[in-house]
Formats: sequence, C-alpha cells, structure tokens
Amino acid sequence: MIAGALFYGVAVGAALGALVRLWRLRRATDRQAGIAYCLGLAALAATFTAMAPPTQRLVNQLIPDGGKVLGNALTLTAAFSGLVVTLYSQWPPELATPRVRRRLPWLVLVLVALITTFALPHSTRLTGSFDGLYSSHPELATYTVVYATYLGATLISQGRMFWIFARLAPFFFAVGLRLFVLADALGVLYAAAKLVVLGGHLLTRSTVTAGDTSGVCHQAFSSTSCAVAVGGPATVVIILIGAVFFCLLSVRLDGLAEWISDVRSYRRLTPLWIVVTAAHPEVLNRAAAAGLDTAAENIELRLTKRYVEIRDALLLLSPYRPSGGGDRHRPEEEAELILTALRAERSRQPLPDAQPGPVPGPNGGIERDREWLERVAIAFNRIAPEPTRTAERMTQSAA
Amino acid sequence: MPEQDTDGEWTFAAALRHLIARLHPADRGPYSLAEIGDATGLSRQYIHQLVHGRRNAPRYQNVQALADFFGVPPNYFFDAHLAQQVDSEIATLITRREAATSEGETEDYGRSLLAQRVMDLSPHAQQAVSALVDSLRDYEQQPRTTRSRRKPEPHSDAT
Amino acid sequence: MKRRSSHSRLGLNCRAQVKELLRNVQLPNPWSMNTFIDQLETYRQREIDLCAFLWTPGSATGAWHPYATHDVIAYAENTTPAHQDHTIFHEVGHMLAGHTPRCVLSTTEAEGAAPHLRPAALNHLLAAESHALDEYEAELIATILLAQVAKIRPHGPLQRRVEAVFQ
Repeated sequence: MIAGALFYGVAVGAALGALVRLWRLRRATDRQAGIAYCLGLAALAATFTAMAPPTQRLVNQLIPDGGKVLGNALTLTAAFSGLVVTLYSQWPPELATPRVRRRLPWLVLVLVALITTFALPHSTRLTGSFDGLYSSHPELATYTVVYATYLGATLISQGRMFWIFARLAPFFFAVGLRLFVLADALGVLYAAAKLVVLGGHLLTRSTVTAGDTSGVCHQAFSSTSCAVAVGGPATVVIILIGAVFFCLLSVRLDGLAEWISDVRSYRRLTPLWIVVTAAHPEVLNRAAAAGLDTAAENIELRLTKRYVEIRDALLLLSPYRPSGGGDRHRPEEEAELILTALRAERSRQPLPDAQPGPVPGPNGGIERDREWLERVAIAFNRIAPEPTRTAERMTQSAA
Repeated sequence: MPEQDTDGEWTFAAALRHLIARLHPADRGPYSLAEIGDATGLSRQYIHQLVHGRRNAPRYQNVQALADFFGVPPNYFFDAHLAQQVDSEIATLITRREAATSEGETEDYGRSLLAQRVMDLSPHAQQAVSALVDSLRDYEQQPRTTRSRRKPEPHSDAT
Repeated sequence: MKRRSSHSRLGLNCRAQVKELLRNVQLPNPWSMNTFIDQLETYRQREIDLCAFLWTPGSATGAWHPYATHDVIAYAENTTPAHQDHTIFHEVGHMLAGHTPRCVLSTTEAEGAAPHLRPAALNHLLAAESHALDEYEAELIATILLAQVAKIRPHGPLQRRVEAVFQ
C-alpha cells in the first residue's frame, strides 16, 4: 500500500516535472536538450509507474510474469534516457544527436532480446526470479546477461557524466546529481551481482523444481540473492526519489539560498546607507519623484538599488575626502575617511580646490564592490554608531 | 513684449505675471501659485496679492526668493530695460527649444541634445546648463577612428 | 513621445524591455561592459562610443548624446567600474526606451545666449515634466540590468550548457 503510493507519487512528480519542462520549452534556447530532459523525466515516470506493486500485479494478471519484463524494459529505457540527457548537456545538439543515434540501436537490440527470450516457451512456470533456472533455461540466462550488461554499461556512462556535472552545479542541484550517481553506482553493483549469481548457479548447475520456495524472497535482505533482487533495488528506488526531489526543487532551493544571502547583504549595507543618503537625500529622489513604491520590488533589485545609492552618495561626498589613500586600503580606513568627509561637509567647509580624486573601491565587478562596501559598512557602524542612530531616527520620522 | 499695466506703467505685478506666463517647461502650462509658493516658501495668498497688484512694495527677501526660483536677476521686476533684455533671452531659448525638438532639426541644435543622469530630479536642478556638453564636444573633436571608444580594461586584480 | 497611462505599469514595462533586450543581446560571461556594448552595437546596427569624463560637484554623472550616425555615452571616470556600468546601463535605458534627449547648453553657450538668466531659468525652459518619468524608467532599467550582471557566475562552456538544460 505504502510502497504503491510512494512509487505512484514519484511517478506523478516526475510527470509533472516533465510537463513543466515541456511548457518551458517554448522559450528554451536549446530545444533538443530540453526535449531530452522532458523525455528523461517521462521515462522515469513510466518506470516508477510500472514498478509499483499494484501495476505489477495488474500486468502479471494479463501476462504471466509480464510485470518483470515490463519493469526491466522500462528501467533500461530510463537509464538510456538519462544518458541521452547527459549527452545533450555535454555537446551542442549537432554533435549530440549523432552520438545518441549511434547508441539507440543497442537499446532496441537489447529490448528485442529481452522480449524474445522471455516470450519463448519455457518448460517451467516463471515466478519472477530466474535464479535456479539458468542451467535448464539458457534463454533466461541470456536474458539476464543482456539485461545486466546493458544496464551496468549505461549506468557507468551516465553516472560518470552526472559526477562531472555535479562539480559545476549550484549546491542543491549538485546534491540531486550526486544522489543520481549513488543510485547509478548501486545499480551497477546490482547488475554485477546479478551476473555473479548467474555464474554461481551455472557453475553449481543448481535447479529449482516446482514447489521449491527457496527462490522466493519473503524479506528484502534475508539472503544475498534476496538483497540483490529486492533489497538493493528498493534502496536504489529510495535514493532515486531523493535525487529527483533535489533536482526538480533545486532551482527553488538554490534561489532560496541566494535570497538569504541577498537579505544579509542588504542588512549589512544599511548603516552606511542611512548615513550617506541622509547627507545627500537627492540620490533617493528618483522613485519618490515618480510616486513609485519600491518597497514592493524583490530583494535583488532593492539590494542593487541600495548599492547604487551608496555609490552615488559617496561620489557626491568625494570632494570632501581627505586626499591620499589608494584603492587598496582596508575597510576600516575607508570608513574613517567617509566619516571625516561627512563631518567636513556638515560643517560647511568650503570645497577644496583640488579636483576630486578617484573613489576607492575594488576593480572587480559589482559583487566585489558590494562585498567591499559591506565590510566598510560594518567598520563604519563600529566607529560611528551614534550618527547612525540619529540618522535612523531622522529617516523614520521623515518617512 | 512684456505687457504693461492699464496705466502703461511697468509694475511689479505685470512683470511677475509675464514671468509666470512665459517661464515654464514646454510640455505643461505655467507654474501654479501653489507650486511657486512651495518652492519659494511664500504663501499662496501672498503671491496671489503680488500678482494682482495688491502689494506694490514687497520685501526684498521675497523678491529675491521669486527671482531665485525663476532664475532672473531681482531687478528684472523693477527695471523695464533689463526686463526687455531678459524677455528677449527667454524668447531665444524658446525658439532654440522648439527647433531642437521639431522634425528636421539642424546639426547646430542637434549638437546639444543630451539625456543626462542627474541626481536631483527637482525641476530647478535639471542641469539644462552642463559642463558635460564641453566634455562631449572635446571628445567629438577627436577623430572617431583613433579615439578610445571603450572602458579601459581592469587592472589585473586578485579576483 | 510615448504616453504612459499609469506609474504602476512603468515597472512592468521596464522589465519587459529588459527581457526583450536580453533575448537578443546576451550578457557576456565573464562580465565585460565592452563586450556587451559591442553586442549592443550589432543588435541596434548603430555604433556606440564610451567617453570617460571627470565628474565634478554639480555635474551629472552620465549622459547619452545621439549623433547622426552613432551614439556617445559619457560616464564618470572617478568612480568604481561597477558604478560606471550602472551609469552606462542608465543611458542604454534611455536609448532602449526611446526617450527624447533634451536641449542642454554648455556654460559658454548659456552665457552667450542668455547672459542675464541663471541656470534655474534655463532649467524651467528646457526641462519637461516627462523627464522625471524618463529618468525613473532609465534608472529602473539600469538597476534591473545591474542586478542581472550581479548574478553572473563566471564559468566555462560545459557549465553553461548544463545550466541551459537543467535551468
């Protein structure tokens, strides 16, 4: 019951993900890669649907033991589609498509082989586990070898690429990708174990007769072969659920992490912002003049606006800065210089004759400049808390 | 030509009326008395009295405030000859403004069309007179093929 | 001149304009204003020259001056590169939104044409009500663009492709 709900739940999640991706395709720059991602998610949804116990029971009623071959076929398709997604990510579409085309016949061949070996008449009734039947039924041995080899090879290729991507991805997406890698690794172990078990059975020429219940697993990890057949895949399914969860939600989660970081920067800049814009309120007039409420804007915009307002105010303040000090001095010195300039301006000292020098700041992009200003703001708050509080009161009373 | 009052004399009220009527941005009507009051700190009623000639000898600092707001010399209100000069200058600028924004502007007027990033958006700080015009003219003197057209590359900073 | 019916639509308008721009002119990664201007030139089929000037008290911080065949954008050289980028984006905003630049005189011209008038008079005559709205629009476009630049993480082609697929 729970297992069924879990499987179907993940299938629905993956299907919804596929639909969202499909909708986003309208604006995508790389359509083939987007389509590959959609199909990958759709294949995952189909696989989870097929592997759910209720579906298996239903299919087994229609075709004896059909649930196994359906599940296996869809698993291989899902593994292949994962590989296709990595190919379209790694290569531009014109180079990716030939690579996919080269690999597609192998999938088709393997699926045909599985269905054929399964459909051939067997002397014994199949019960889902082929263990013990290998010596007497070489076609089932073929089935297992083909399945395990193809699964292992595909998962190795796919897992390798996901590992490389994970190093480049933002945090939460990387978590999802690494879970995929873990699932792939366990899948490879599973495939290898299947081959080992098969080899073992062939060597010992063990057989199973009707009524022999030794091949039936009652508990997932009750024996080695059970661990391989049931426990292992169950673990992989749980990991896959986690992987899909993180990948699909990563945009939201990483967006959340960025939001938190932006809010922190915004708060850190506030003490400096209050004081320098109180000295030069005209830098704030833009929105006010147009009667627009900028408090409703998102945090990235408000943070950027605050940064620009600070830089504008510092530029207006620059004639009063004592000369000297290059653009590599420490934030504490910069805070001191700003304070000196503010005092000079407030006491209405005449503008010095010398032309204003360059405004110190890092040479890099806005990230570095903003981080620099954050450190200056922290230092400034330490040396001039009183003006900050006064200005804060002034700003609040004016608002 | 500045209107003259009913008895032909050049009065403060007539001068002020004339100024309000002429000196305003192109895309709106004259400044209202309330707006002038807000900008100068004088009350609306007081300005109303000035405009209608009910106060013929306003205090000098109020005259100064009005002159500062409009950007004319304070004696504009008292000296008919100066008023005439100021008026013709206003007319020159209005002509120039219309030529600059109409279709088929000449290269002369086209040379001084700028959109600036000014800090203060209040009307009196709009930077219609700007040192940037000179900087841009100097830049335009340099031949296009050899002058620097891009920002300097950043120094190799430890990023 | 464009007519804008309400202030609240201005914000949406600006965002739409930036989206449209970024569909056609991608922000270079790693960020470089020079490369961006090169790409913008190609998109608009009009050359853009960047001119550095020394900001002095009382001066504007930047300007856009369209000539017959090219545009010139002036930015203050005595501030940090990121701040300069914002100014340049502001002028690009004026360009994109199709604002009408207005008549500005140099101090010498003003002395010549109107020796008795002070700057306030010229501001009244040569300003326009719509300028405040134009300024806001250009400033919002600039802030949106700068916020996008802040999100650029420098990375190689593989990372870019991965992000394009998965995000």
